[in-house]
Amino acid sequence: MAMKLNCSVLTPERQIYEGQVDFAVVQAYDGEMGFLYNHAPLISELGTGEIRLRSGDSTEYFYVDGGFVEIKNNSLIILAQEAVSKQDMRPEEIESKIKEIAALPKPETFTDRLSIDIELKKLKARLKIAKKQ
Amino acid sequence: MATQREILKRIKSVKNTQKITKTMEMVSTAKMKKMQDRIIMSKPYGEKLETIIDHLRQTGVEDVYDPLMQERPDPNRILILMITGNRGLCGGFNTRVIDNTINFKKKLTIEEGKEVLIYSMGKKGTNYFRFIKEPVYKSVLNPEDKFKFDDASRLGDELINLFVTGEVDEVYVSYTKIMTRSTQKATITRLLPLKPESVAIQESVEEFHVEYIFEPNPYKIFSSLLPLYIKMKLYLAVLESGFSENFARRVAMKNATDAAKEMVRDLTITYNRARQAKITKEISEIVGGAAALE
Repeated sequence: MAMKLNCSVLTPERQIYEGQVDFAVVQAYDGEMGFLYNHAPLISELGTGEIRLRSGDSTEYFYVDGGFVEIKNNSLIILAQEAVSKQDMRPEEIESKIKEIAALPKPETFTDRLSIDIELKKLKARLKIAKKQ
Repeated sequence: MATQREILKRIKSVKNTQKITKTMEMVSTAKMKKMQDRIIMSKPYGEKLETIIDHLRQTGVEDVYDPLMQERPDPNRILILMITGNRGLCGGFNTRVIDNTINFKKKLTIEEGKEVLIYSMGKKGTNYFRFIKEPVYKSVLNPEDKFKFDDASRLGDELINLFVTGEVDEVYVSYTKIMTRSTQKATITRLLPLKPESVAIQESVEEFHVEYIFEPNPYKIFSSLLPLYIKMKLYLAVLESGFSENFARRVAMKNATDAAKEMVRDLTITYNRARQAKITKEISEIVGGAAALE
């Protein structure tokens, strides 16, 4: 029996990944968190960043933004608020969006500035994953 | 008796109507199927969220103070989110939701003297409130099949914000719930404050011997889980309403098509009778004429 985790990535709208993986890394709220076979049961909150699922020689990349991860009995369930597979992202599109936002005039209020900053950060995280080989 | 030409005209118009209703039936069937698929795809997420909440509760987070679960001692202002369709021709779908909402509102305002605000989603509900000249708190269109989780998320944030700031003390959702695949019912459920649902807990007691590690801590996770849970509930409520609307429209259109078919049949019989009567009359006239010549 191979030492593999049953992994599924769910978003509220659909299931975007299901399969067996050797090693999974998710972006937790305060840093990355890795899972191997026989991990202790755990529930954690997710942050904004990437998910790497390695099985054999191939690795799948996903962008994730918020949500939760649960592992128990070697089944890893990622409940993302938002998640996109690397194949579904186009770096050019994200780049142009970043430029668009950066070109906007600085808003007056602090909260508006903050929300733009957050938006930019998310886009940059996306871009980083989309550009991965 | 109507003339042949008049009957023919009617047959034609009924047949046209039949074509339209038949097409609408097919469109609704397709839309219904799509909605159903989306609901099925979202179900596992909702279920998983619920189990995580259960697990958290089991570890003793139950008595945590979370603003979203806090009952107000004397709820006065109440918001009802009413989900109807944008369009008619779907049997009693919209009316049932509206009736249900109005009855509920009456009960709250008249019997309990509370202030009720209506948040109307869907053109039909909004129009009805305009018709009876009752103000609504806010009205938006029903996004129908364009509805994404993002929209639910925004709506959820809005409602949560209203609740947390004390603008309203309770939030209800009035929508059409899917009971089984073929029955839907207009229902009203309370969204905020959240009620702990204890049903699921008892079912899976034996699972809870597993000790979970929580990162950061159970309380923190719990308080960020709840908004997500509420948004998920909203998302499903809108999807279920969409499914029910198309289901109701399909049934209504099927009935209309059948009625049109029946009508065409009746009219054809009347037409044939009129035609035969005319022929008989002509023959008897000819025979009568010939007899007169002899």
